[in-house]
Amino acid sequence: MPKRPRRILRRRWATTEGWRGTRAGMWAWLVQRAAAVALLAVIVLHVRTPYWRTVQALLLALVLVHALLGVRAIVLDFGLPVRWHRLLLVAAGALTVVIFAAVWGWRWS
Amino acid sequence: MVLKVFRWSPGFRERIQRFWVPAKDGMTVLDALVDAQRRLDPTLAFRYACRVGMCGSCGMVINGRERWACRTLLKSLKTRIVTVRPLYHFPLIRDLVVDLAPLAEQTARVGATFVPKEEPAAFARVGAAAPERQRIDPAIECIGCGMCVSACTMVANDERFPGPAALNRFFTVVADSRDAG
Repeated sequence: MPKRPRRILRRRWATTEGWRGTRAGMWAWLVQRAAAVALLAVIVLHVRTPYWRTVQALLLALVLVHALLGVRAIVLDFGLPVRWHRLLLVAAGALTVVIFAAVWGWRWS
Repeated sequence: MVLKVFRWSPGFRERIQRFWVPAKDGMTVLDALVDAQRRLDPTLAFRYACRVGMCGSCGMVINGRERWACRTLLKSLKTRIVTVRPLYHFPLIRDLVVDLAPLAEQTARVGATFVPKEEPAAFARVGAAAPERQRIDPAIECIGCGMCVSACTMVANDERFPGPAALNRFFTVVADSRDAG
């Protein structure tokens, strides 16, 4: 009797199924990586046009997002319970906005 | 409530079948499946054994998330429509039943098997309060239900990736001072 091909359902990242149930920890990880990739391009742009305000602002925003999510990851590595994951993500986001607004008000407004 | 169940058997096309099941207080998804099978369609296939979250047999994807059907109260889902699918990344056998053999195969492939240092194997001398034991405590709670593998998107990307269950088992063996492997 010929062997039937195996039928396996796949949870692929490019499908909606792949993103169902995605939680704070995954989003934090993903946003930090995306910020890192974006930083590579923005840093190159910034070196070429150091006084372009939009690029300066973008650079600051990306550095803050990447750095503060990195601090979140370090803090979690100390073994904080899972319930801190979302709170630390919110705290990193809030701190990003506060620092960005402070720098904007101080230097660029 | 409406139970939308993934149906498939070898040689047939997959489909979603709807079952109307009267929801009762304290009813779990497993209760609803059993009710649908007994009253509406005896050919509906799913797997369960202990009914108390110990065996892991009833792991399935309920409303997009991997859960044990026996430990999932309908009330906790906060919806009248419940979609039930089989676990991802495992070969389908029929309907909600999958073949969990790849779980054991991957565990063996990464070498997550205990090899005793002494012959014959000595009885465990690792106390419950030992730091070594406490480090692996959460990891040895694994009951091999396969839900972590189903939830993992990396498993689909590269067949060489052993998946979280095998890596978890590997960690428990590596952390065991009695292991010579």
